[in-house]
Amino acid sequence: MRDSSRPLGRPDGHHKEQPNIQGVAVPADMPTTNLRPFSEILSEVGLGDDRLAEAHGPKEPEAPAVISKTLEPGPNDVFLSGEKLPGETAYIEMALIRRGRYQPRTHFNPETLSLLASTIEDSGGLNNAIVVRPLQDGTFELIAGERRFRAHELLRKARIYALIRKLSDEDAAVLSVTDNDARDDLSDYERGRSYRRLLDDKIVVDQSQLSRRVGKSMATISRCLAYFKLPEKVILLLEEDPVLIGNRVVADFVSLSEKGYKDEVVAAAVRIRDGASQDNALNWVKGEVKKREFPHVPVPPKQIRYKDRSQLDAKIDGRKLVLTPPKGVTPEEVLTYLEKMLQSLDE
Amino acid sequence: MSAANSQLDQYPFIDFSTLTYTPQFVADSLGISTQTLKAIEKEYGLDIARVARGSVKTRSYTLNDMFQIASIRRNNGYTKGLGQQITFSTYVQKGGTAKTTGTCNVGIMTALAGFKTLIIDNDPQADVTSMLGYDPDQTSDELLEIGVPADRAVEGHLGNLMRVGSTYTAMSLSEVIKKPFGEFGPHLIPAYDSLDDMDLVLRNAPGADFRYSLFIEKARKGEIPHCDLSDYDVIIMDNAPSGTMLSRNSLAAADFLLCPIRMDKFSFRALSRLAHKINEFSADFGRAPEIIAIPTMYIRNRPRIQGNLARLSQLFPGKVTEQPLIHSEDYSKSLEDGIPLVLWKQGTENSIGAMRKVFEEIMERVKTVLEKAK
Repeated sequence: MRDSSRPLGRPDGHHKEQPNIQGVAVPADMPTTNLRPFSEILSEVGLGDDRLAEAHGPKEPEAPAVISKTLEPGPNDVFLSGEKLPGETAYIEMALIRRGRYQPRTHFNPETLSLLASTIEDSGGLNNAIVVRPLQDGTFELIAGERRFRAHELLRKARIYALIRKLSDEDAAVLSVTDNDARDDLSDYERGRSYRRLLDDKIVVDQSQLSRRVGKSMATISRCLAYFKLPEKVILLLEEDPVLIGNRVVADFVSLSEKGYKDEVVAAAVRIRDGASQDNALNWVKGEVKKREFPHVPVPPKQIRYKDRSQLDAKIDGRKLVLTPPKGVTPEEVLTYLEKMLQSLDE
Repeated sequence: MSAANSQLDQYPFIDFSTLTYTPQFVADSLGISTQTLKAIEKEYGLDIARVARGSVKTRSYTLNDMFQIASIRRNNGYTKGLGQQITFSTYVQKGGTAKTTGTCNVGIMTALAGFKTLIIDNDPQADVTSMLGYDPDQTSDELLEIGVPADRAVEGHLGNLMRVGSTYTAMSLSEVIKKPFGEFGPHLIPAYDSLDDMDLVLRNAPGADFRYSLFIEKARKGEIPHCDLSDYDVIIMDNAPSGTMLSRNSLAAADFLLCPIRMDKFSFRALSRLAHKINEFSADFGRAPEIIAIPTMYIRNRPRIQGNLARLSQLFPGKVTEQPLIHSEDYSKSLEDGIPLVLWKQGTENSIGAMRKVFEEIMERVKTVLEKAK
């Protein structure tokens, strides 16, 4: 195969013409059938007898179906946004957990998610418990660990290892935001959205209190919140793809949108969605703006009588004046004539 | 009642147990003469129904009779065993080359040759399941409603039996297995669309490429209590024309690869890639299944097609069957009737005849390869 690192055929065979049928290359050497017993291969790839137990299904840790009211303190303390918390851990039914309202993340990369799922499967479960809080109706709200939760869904696990914390609504909201904030793969838009929700729901009164509670600088917060000054249609596109517009260009788009070029900004966002680069799209809007401010109107050429009989085409192109002489007249001739005429005006 | 009837009219449901065959068809299917057939009946006291045909009453065989006779012949040493259990996998990464047709008919013919056969539908599209009379899309209740027996619904698939990860409900072989033509015919582990997720399940499992090999190896030795496959002489797997983990596993688990090839560029490319893949696999693991390429949809008297076939046989020496499967309306007609070609009475020398010859070549090759491996 072309992309194979392994040389095919005999080492001295590179002068040999590659056999082909209708232009399709065919390996010079057919595979030699070798029905080696599977038991040998299986033990080589680590599926020998000791690993066979799992062919009969993985052993899920026996856990109480639903946690009891009196929770045993868990074996480990749990770190959440840098804070050490005493843990009460349990295996909780997946069906009892619901996503929190303040979860900032909406965009899940399926590839890294399935990678996470395989890591979880390989290591036989979670090392870090997800964090939930008990709700009145006996269910739990997910506070931290949505990706781990989703990976469990992918693996169709019945239960998940979780730390249960009794939190007030306000604390739950702030913790949901701050725990995820620590991850750098969260986009600024997703951050901004969770900040805005905290502000809208009056969990924090203003940006400076927000800054204190989530431990982010005012500059970061205002940069993230800037996304909400974009036109509504762009916000909808961002909901679908939170990394559509990066923090490098968002300020430019916001200022263009505030100058009244909303439609152009929306069109630019659509261009990015359809594959254009962010810079490219921004330059396109700037170009559109320039065109609007300095409209380029093509001027019809003007015909000037010259030497009484022939005509001279005059055209204005931007800051240039273009004179096109008729047949039989050279441009030098016209220039000499113009010079003479201008001189005669001076005299 | 009338509503149920009209729905049944539209539902292509074939009750295989009601099909009957002439002595000649049965004899041809078993590769014996009608005299031998009569002798077997007498010797083993088989009770074959008679129907009036003109003034004479002739024998009328059911499918169960046919497969039972095949089994009796095998048990009494009239047909030779293989000396070991083997796995076929039908695969070529090109759609529409007659993979499903190949799998079903080869599976039926191995059973007619007296081998205990298990067909595994390893394609989430579930075409083999459907070709053998089951409905991969409706539940037993839905089928009952339109007057089709509930056992035509598919309850589980390979994923439920392998029990890797916790994606699928654990089931046992008796809950999953289907016997479309009765106990003596080929058995089937069916499929339905949820088998799709098997790709992810396998990807996440340790030794991801060899989960089928492991499963079949253990199940054949009778080491998996809920799924004992120790009785089966032949396992034959049908695959989607894809590069998913399902197909990779099936390739890795196979002793023989059945590759139906149309005489076109895309099929040649698929076969060539497959050969490369097997070469790499062989270098990595020191094992390589035998490729059996079967030319399909062959049209006689077309110099271009003849030329291509000759070139193919030359490039893949010893891998291409001499007898091609010939392009014929019989494939579509039998499919419309819901009966696999080799059991379709109207089949002609061009269709059934060619299929039987191809099968003979396949089994010859199997025996030669097994002989060499000893």
